[in-house]
Amino acid sequence: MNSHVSGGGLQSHAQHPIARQNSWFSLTLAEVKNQLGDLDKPLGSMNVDELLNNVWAAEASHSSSMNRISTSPAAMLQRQASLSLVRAFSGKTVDEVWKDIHQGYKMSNVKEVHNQEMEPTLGETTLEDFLVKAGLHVANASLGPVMSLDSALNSQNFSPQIGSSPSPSIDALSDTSMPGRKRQPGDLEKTLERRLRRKIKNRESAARSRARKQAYHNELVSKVSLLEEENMKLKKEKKFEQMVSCNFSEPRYQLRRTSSF
Amino acid sequence: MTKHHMTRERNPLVVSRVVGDVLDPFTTTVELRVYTDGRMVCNGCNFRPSQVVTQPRVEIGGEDFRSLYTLVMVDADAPSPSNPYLREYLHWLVTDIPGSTGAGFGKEIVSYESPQPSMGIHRLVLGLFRQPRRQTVNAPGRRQNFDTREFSRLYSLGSPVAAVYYNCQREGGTGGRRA
Repeated sequence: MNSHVSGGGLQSHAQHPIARQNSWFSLTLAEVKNQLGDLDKPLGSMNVDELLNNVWAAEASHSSSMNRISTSPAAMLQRQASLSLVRAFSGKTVDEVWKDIHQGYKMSNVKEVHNQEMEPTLGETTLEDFLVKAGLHVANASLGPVMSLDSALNSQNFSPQIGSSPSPSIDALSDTSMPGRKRQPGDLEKTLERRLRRKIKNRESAARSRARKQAYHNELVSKVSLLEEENMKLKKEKKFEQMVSCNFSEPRYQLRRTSSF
Repeated sequence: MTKHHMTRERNPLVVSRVVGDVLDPFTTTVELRVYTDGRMVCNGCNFRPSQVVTQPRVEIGGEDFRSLYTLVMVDADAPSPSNPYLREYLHWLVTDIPGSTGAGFGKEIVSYESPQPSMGIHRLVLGLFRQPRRQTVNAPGRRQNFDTREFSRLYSLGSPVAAVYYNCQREGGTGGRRA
């Protein structure tokens, strides 16, 4: 086992986000939709590869002067992982994939709190999390002949290993701290899934925070411009009234009564 | 497919996913002014439970007294935004509000229950709908898992004519940041 991992395991890799500041993968699907602007069809009815092509085209046009994002080894691996994912889903739309993911959850009882938990809506999930969940789903369903996005997330330390085994990330993480009982084949996957889920929850929370901030900011901007307009109008009205009242006050003084006879 | 940022969404109701999670996209056609704790409620502003204990003062526009409006107030993130399995939680329901008056002139179907979020930052949404006519509305069996869209369909209210939302977290909350 050629492991490049220290005791921190998956945790330390979570600190090397694939989704850097100007990557689209850390945005929620609703944010992606907003950024892409007008499209021929709603995001959900797009095929997964259409969606990815749109995102990469937008990323490329956005960062055409900065080549590092689009050609970095991590980004290339991410694309490979996404492409193999796309092949696995053979032309399904985003909505269909989302449905498949949730049916998979119900069947395998992956979640700890089944009956009470409601999954986030498609719009609230980040693009990256959507792909991760899809990758997990595929890995669970077909015992992972597809290179999962999970391994791409760890790609920075594992580049020599990619492609050599079906689930390189699991082999490489054999150093991770284990639950205190006999090791079973399922355990590593469960630990991974738990950590991934925590990461996903964290990202969703961050996305909500961004949305909150952006919404309030937009509200204030439009309020300010409304108030500025109103203010100008009121000032003009005040001036006008002052001019008008001046014309009437002079004659009054002249007409003042001096006696009451 | 060259220009990707030309039509970036700015509407706070969309950015915050109020349109999406609770309401369908709509155009504002009637004025809606909501005041609580002496302050005017604007989209995305923050209130603590102590500031929204009593029902807000709601004033609406509308052409005349003959048009009647329904006001719905729900929590889009009950019991927690990360796991909103009680979405939407109905806090207040008032019908037959005459145009250009306020909620006080309407018929209260579901009394105001003040928000008391325990986990996370919740979006409290007030939606205004135009009624096709004066109509009797039955109070739902329970406040949780209310469906504003379905309610609108059931009573032929159509799309909202106005909406506003605010954020609310528990009194000791740290604003989403670790203390």
